[in-house]
Amino acid sequence: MAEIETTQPGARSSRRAVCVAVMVWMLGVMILSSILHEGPFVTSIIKRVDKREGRPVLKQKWEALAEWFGQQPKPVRQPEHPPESAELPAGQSAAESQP
Amino acid sequence: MNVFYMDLFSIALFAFSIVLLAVYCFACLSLGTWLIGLAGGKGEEFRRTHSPAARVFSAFLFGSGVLANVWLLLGLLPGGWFRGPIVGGVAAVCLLAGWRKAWRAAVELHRQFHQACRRLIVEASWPWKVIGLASLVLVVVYFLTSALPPKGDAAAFYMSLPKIIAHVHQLVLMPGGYESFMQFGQHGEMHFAALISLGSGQAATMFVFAMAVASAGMLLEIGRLAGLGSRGRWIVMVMVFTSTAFVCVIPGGKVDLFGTAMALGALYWVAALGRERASLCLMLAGVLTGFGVVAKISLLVPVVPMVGVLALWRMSGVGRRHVVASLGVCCVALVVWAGIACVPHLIKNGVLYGDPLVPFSLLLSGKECPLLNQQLLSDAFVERLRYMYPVAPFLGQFPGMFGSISALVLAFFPLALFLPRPRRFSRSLLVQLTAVAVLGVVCWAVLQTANFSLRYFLPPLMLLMLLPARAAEVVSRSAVGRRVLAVGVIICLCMGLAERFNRTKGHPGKAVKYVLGISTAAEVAGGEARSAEAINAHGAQGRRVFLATCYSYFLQPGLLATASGQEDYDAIKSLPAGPERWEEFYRRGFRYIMAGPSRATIAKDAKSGDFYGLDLSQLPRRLTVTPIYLERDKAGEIRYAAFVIQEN
Repeated sequence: MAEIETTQPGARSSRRAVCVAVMVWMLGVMILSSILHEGPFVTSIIKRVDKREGRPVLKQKWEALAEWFGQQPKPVRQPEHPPESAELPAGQSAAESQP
Repeated sequence: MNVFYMDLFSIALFAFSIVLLAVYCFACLSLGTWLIGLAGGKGEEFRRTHSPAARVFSAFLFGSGVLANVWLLLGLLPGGWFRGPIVGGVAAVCLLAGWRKAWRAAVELHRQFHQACRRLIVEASWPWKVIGLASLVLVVVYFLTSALPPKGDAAAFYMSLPKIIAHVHQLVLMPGGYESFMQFGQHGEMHFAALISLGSGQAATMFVFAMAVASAGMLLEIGRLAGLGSRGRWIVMVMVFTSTAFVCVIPGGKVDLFGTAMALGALYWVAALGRERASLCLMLAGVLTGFGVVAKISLLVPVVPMVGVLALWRMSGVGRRHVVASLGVCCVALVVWAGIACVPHLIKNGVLYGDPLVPFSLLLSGKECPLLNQQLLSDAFVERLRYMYPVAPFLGQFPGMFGSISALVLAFFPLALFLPRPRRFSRSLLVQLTAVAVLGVVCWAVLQTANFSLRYFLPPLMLLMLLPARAAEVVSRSAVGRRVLAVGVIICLCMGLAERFNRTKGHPGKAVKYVLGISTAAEVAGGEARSAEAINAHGAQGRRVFLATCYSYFLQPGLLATASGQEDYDAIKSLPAGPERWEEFYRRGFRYIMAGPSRATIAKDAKSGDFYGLDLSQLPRRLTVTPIYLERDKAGEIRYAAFVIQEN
């Protein structure tokens, strides 16, 4: 936590190096967080690049990164299946039972 | 016309919930103000030493803790005393207890908030205006999400139990296999039950938001004691409301923030040692620690060592004479006050279980208590977590984490290099707070290695925000040499806010639709609500529902109170698998089965399956099981279902 107050050329350049290193760290952490937590544009960029490539290159990389940070592999997506109403006892319509 | 009427009704209900919530919160504040005044926390000196926010949030937390215990004892009285008029009467007495001083403090708090907004939004430069406004919008968004109906754990227990208490007018064991859960404190649940008794379940879920504000408020006031300026405290607020581990527990009535708020209140009063009379600080710190641990038992691991170590650290610096004696007195005072705060909880366990010290007595007698030592992570995950623990709360995606702490905390930590060096490290409150926060996290990491749910140990994680926020404030205010870093701080804050706006966990869109009556509870809450509503609509009143699901909140209160309990499950499972089980099921009065993914497996054709030990293929001939609601997932598997059982 030392305050760097000197103005000697060597000290000035080391101060600049510390500032640059801290700046890189700050932005690096925030970009990594944005990627991991699906921040703005991340999903759309992944989709766009993968569409251009014709295969899920970035998506796989993203999933590998998320898995490295502890995420469990996601199950393979299945086509949408609508909920159904079942055999209904007296007094209830199919529409009432459907979400 | 009908839709229009429903909209108006929902909006009116929401408005009523807000009014009820405001009055109830003021009753807590008024009671707390009166009690703290009795303990010596009053007068001009007290007002000058502590900001309005510190006084208001401390009084609110103290009052809410006491009131929760009043409700608990009221619920334990035989004969059903937990009724709306009695609850309302007690709340009115609390409201009148110290309303004049409470009102004055609330007005001062409003003035303080107004000044903070003016300083950071009106008078600040444009980037800070945007950050200030965006963070306020985020707070409003999470206020709206707090009105959503219960989901997950809250639909299983935290809100289901209050619904039963409000219906049967006394504290009873929660059915559905959750009987042993009641060995832990019911701080939040008793407030929910009181608000449901007063007429609004929505106000009950929204009370969590009041606790969220109190948590954030206490953290900001700890920051003020530690030397954070208005900008630093605003950065802390951004960090808090961009932490999904914090905001994800606001919607739907979860109780994690009750313990968190109490623990942060306790830490404030420990940090205030040296500025305020030690006896008052230790009393408030002890009682709030006791309330916090009762409200969330997991806080026993990180918060008790934090409060103890910080209190001793602060006390060692207060007086130079009789250090050992004063440290001894400090420890005794904390333990005694925390013990007094736990007495109603021990009485409750004594009445309900015949053992005040349960579940700890189970551990002492060598029995297993999985609730106290949850294993949420596999060995492989534990191994990975071990070497990335310092970054895992901010970037981790581990199973059961349920949200992370804002990455801003991790990003701003190296800025501490630019903080002015304190005269003595060991006497700097900021250093002390950061050290005890690290101690709290280490205690958790060592004692609960396979459980990385951040909501279980939020107070130390939130306390870790103060140092980076102070550093970011210093850097952003320095004029020369670090302008690049100052710009970097603004960029990072904008990125953090943008990330949260992009994926506002808690679904504000759903909340707005629900509040305006465009969506119903069944539409926003999920399959458990829809299957319960199918049973409610079937005219099941007076018949029993067998819960082959964890989530029972949406059943009518009468059905919920008589639903299957542990005794039923044990009795049915004690019989050999076969038709006998179904006979016993029918003999016990069950006519409906509510099934969910965790306790039931149902074949795609709904003709075979297992409901928590009841095999559909072994049904006796005289009984017929008919599905009245089926809901499938994307793979076509039945996730939620409701069945009616009839005799042929």
